[in-house]
Amino acid sequence: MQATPDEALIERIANGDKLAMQTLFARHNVRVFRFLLRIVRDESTAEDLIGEVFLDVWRQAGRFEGRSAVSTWLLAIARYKALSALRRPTHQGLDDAMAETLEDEGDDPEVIAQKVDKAGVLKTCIAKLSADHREIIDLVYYHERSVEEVAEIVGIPENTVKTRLFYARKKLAELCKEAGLDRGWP
Amino acid sequence: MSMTEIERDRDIADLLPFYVSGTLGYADRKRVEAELARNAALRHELEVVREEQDETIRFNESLPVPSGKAAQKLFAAIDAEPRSQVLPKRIDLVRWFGEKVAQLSPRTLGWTAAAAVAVLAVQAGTFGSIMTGHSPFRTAAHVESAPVAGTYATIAFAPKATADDIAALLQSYNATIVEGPKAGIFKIRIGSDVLASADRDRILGEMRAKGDVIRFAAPAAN
Repeated sequence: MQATPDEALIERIANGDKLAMQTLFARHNVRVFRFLLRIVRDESTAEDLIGEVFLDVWRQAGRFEGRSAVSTWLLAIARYKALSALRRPTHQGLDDAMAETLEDEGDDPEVIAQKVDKAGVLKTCIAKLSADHREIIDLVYYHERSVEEVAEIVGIPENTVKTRLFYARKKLAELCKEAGLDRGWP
Repeated sequence: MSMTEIERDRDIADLLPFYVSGTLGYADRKRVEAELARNAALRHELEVVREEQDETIRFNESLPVPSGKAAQKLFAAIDAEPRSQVLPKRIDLVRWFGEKVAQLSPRTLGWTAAAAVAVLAVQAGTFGSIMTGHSPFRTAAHVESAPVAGTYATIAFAPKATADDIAALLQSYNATIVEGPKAGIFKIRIGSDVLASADRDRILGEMRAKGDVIRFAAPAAN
């Protein structure tokens, strides 16, 4: 049986269908949550924000124009919410446990190289990228967004998407090299 | 192959992350594949990109998932929401088109305006009458309030579909837009007969196959 397309769920949500809302939430909550978490780097903040994102969907579904995929729309809302949260003076900052999971800035490259294999080095270096760089890497590789969709979510021109991704990948290669992993590129 | 050549082909190499993620359009995908076939350095970079993708996915998949509390809070908030914003069932396409054109900048007209133009072209025949509001367009353009015999479907147009594409597709199936857009979706009536579900599904399948024009098509009730 074919799953109901996201667009049809949004139409039903616009008519107040809570079951459709539950389906949409179940389908997208994990990816949206992880996208939020990568930006705010605080699990409880990300939990609050995911509620705000989907509450906006509930309220704004009737205004969804379908010019982009629903998943792209969700990520754009999530990004806006996350950046707004980071600007709030009450933002709690990085939770210690999450800091360990998400970023490992305390380790110098040699330590990183010693403690993990090639894949581990790469993974650790991905975690060490700047916010802009990890955002674009995540959107392209994990969230599988196209050039046009990344441009829409981040609010930058399409050529800038490619340029920023190139520099993110270059920075990743440099971090890996510092950690003793020369991948032969660039 | 030298790095200089890779740099010269940077525009192709920059597409590799989108190539491995499967988000390139047909033309760009073919460009990348043609270049990969002849460029060893690009093939090496493709492997590097694949490693990056694998580890990015692995990293993200290692992150936590939201707790059940997040869903509970959300749906409690939804239950507490007043449901005041209900979209109108009757939509005047003349007014709708005017509002759309007024709201959208030339750059962002996109498929919504294209669809509007197509609706106008197919249902009214002339553009001038829209602007002046003369009949017979106005009558034809109003959303039907009572069910009319026919086979109904909901569709969404591809973002890059042109007005000509949309008009041609609708005409080829003797289809008329009767409602929308609501959440980006239009309701259409295909012909004036109630088709057997197999025939209806065949037509919708054909529409879905035209991915450059139709992004979504599904049966709908009258």
